[in-house]
Amino acid sequence: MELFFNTLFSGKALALFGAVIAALFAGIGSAKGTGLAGEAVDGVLTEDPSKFGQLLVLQLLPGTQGLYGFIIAILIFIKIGLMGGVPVDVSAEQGIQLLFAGIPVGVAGLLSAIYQGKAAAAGIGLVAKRSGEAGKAITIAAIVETYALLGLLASFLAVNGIQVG
Amino acid sequence: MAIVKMAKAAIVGLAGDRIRILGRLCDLGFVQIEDPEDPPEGSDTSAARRKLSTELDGARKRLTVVSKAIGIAGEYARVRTGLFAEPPAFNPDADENALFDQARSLIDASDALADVRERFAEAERARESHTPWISVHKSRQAAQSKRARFEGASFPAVADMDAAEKAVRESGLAGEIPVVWEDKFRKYVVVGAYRPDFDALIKLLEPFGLTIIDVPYDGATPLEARRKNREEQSALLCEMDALRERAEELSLLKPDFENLYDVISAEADRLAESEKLLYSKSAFVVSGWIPDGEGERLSREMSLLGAWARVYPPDEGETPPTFFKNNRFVEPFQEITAMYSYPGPSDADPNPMLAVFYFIFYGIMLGDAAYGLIMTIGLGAFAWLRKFRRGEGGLIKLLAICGVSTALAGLLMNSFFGYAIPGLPRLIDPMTDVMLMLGLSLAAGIVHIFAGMGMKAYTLIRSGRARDAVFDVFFWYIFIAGACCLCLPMVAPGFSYLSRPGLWLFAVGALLIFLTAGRDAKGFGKVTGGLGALYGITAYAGDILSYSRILALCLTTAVISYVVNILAGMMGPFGVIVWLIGHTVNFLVNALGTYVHTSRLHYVEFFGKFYEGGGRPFTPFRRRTRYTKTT
Repeated sequence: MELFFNTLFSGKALALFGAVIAALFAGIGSAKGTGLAGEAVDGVLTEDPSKFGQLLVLQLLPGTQGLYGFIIAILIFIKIGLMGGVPVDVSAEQGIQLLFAGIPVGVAGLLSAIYQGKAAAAGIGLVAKRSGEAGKAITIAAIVETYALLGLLASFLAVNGIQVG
Repeated sequence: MAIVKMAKAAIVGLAGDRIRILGRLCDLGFVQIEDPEDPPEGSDTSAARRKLSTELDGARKRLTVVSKAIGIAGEYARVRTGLFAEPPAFNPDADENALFDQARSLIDASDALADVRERFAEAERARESHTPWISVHKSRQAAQSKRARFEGASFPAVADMDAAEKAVRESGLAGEIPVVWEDKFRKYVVVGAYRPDFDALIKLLEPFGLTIIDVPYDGATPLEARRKNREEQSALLCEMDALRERAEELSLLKPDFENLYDVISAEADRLAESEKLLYSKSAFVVSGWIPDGEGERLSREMSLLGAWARVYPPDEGETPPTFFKNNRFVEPFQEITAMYSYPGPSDADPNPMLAVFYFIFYGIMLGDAAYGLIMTIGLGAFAWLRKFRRGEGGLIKLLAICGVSTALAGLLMNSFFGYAIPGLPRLIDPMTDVMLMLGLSLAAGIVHIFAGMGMKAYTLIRSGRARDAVFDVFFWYIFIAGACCLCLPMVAPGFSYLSRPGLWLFAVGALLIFLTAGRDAKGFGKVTGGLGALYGITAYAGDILSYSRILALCLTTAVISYVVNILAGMMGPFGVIVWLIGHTVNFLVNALGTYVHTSRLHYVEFFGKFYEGGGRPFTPFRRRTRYTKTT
C-alpha cells in the first residue's frame, strides 16, 4: 500500500497528471466545440454545398484549444524528461507545481472551446443567410479564443518558471 | 487625412436618353444616385417605377436561370480555372437571347439526365427483384392451376427450414416450400399448396418468418422479365450518353454564361438605379452625390449627351456618404475601418494613423520572419497575378503588407519558423524576456492611446473647440504620463529617478482635470464632475493593460513553433510531416488570431478615444461584375 501511494504521489506521476489535465480537458473542449459547430455546418451544407470553405474555418476555430493543451502537455513531458534529453529527478513538490501549471490551459480550454463552438455555430447561421459576412462571423467567434490563449500563457509561464531536478 | 468633400448633383435628361445617360454614369462611376422621396400615387414617376420594377423582376429571374446553368456547367466542364488566373474581360455585346436559350437547354439536359438516371435505377431495382426466381421457368400466371396455387415468398436467413418443413409435413396440409434462392438476408421459397389448404399453410408458416412477395403478374417468366429490364436499361444508357454529351457540349459555354450573367446583372443594376429617378412624361431627374472635384466633368459629359447637370453644395444637416481617398499603403486598411463603422460628420479620416499602428502591431504579434515572408510573397503574388486594381482585394493586400512588418519583427526576435538564424543577434526573445516584452507592449499601448487622444484633439480643434481639446486631452496627457512615471519604478527599480517628476505631473494633471472636467455642470455638479472624471483613470489603466495581448499573441506563436520544432526533431523521418502540419496550423491560427486582436485594439482602445462613426459608405453607380473584369 505504501509503495502504491509513493508511486502515485511521486514527482513524475504528479507532473504527468498535470500534462494529462492540460491535454485531456482542452481536447474534450475542442472535440465538443468543433462537434457543435460541425453539426451546424452540415445543416447549412445540405442547402448550399458551395459554402464549405467559409464554414470549415468557422468549424475549426474551437479546435485550437486542444492544440494549446497538447503544447503544454509536451512542454511538461520535456520538462520531466519523458521526451528526449536525460531523465531528471522530479521531487513531489515540483510535481505538484507542474500539476497546477497544467490546470489553466486545461480548464480554460475546456470551457472556452465549448463556448466558442456555440459562437461559431451561431456564426454559421449568419453565413447561411448572408455569405458576405463570413469575416465578421469568424471575428466574433475568434474573440472567445482569447481566454484559451491566456490560459495557455499562464500554463506556459508557470511550466517555464518551475525549476526541475 | 482624406475624406473627400462631397457635392450634390442633379441631372435632367429626356426620357428617350435614359439608358444612354445611365450607361454613361455607370462608366464614369462616381455618381451615387439617391432615392429622393416617394412620388405621389398616380404620378408619372410611380407609373414609370411600376414598369421598371416588373422589368427588374424579369432580369432577376433570368439571373437565377443563368446562375443555375453556370453551376451545372461547373460540374461538367473538364477545364478548371486556376486560383491565380485573371478573370476574362467583360464583353457587353454578347448575343444575350441565344446564350440564354442555351443556358436553358443546359438546365433541361441536366434535369432530363437526372430523370433518366432515376429511371435507370428503378429498372435496376426491378431487375434485382426478379433475381431470386430465375430458377423458376414459369411465369406467375402459368404456374397456377385449378387445384394448386403457387406464390413467391421468403424467410429470414436465420429461419430453421428443416423445422418449417417438418411442421408442414406434420400438419397434414398438402403443400411444399422448396427453397429456390438464398442471399445474405433472406431465403426465397415458392409456396405451393392445394388451394383449400393454402391459407392454412401460410398461417402455419408465419411464426417462422414467412413473408409473401408480390411477384409481378404479367405473364413473363423471371428470366424474360430480367431480359426486358436489361433492354430498358441499355436504352436508358444510350439516352444518358446522349444527354451527357449534350450537357458537356453546352458546358463548354461556361465562360460565355458567366459573361452573360454579368451582362444581365449590369442591366438589373441599371434598372434598380432607374427606380430611384423621378419621371415626367418626357423627362427624368437623377439626384445624387458626387465627389466635389468631379462636378465639371459631370456637366461636360452630360451636355455631350444632351442632358443638363447641376452641382451644388449639400444643405446644412445633410450627411454626405463617406468617400476615403488614401495612398496605396493606407488604402487596404480602410477595410478595417469600414468593418467597424464609416466616420460620422465630425470625424476625421482615421485610416492613415490606423494603418501605421496596425502594421506595427500585427508584425509584433505574429513575429516570425518565415511566416511574414510567406504572407508577403504568397499573397503579394496572388494580388499581382490576379491584377488587383486600386480598391480591390483589400484584405489580401492588407495581409501582404502586414507580412512585411511580421518579417521585420521576426528578424528582431530572430525567429525563422521558430529557429534562430545563425549569426544574427536576437535583440529580444519573447520566451525569456517576458517582462521586458510586457513592458514594451504596454508602452506601445500608451503611445497608441495617446495617438487616439491626439486624433480627438485634432477633431476638436478643427471644429473650433480648442479649449475642450486642452482640457479633455492635454490635461489627460499630463495626468496619464504622471501615473505611468509613478508606476514604472515599482516594477523596474532602475527608473526610480522618475518617481519625483511623475508625482508632480500626476498631481498637477489631477488638479487641472478636477478643476476643468465639471465645467459644463452647475453648482455642486462641478465638484462631482471633476472627481468623476478623475475616476476615469481606471478606464485608461484597463485600456493600457489590454495591450498585454501583444505579448500574449507574440508568445503563443513562439511557443507553438518551439514545440513543433522539438516534436519534429524527435520523430525521425516522419518529422517532416509533423513539422509541416504543425507550422501550417500555427501560421493559420495565429495569423487569424493576430488579425482579430489587432482589429480589436483599434476598435475598442483606439477608436474608443475619438471615433464617432455612424456614417455610410459612398457607393457610386458603377459596373459590378462577378465573373469578368471590366477595363
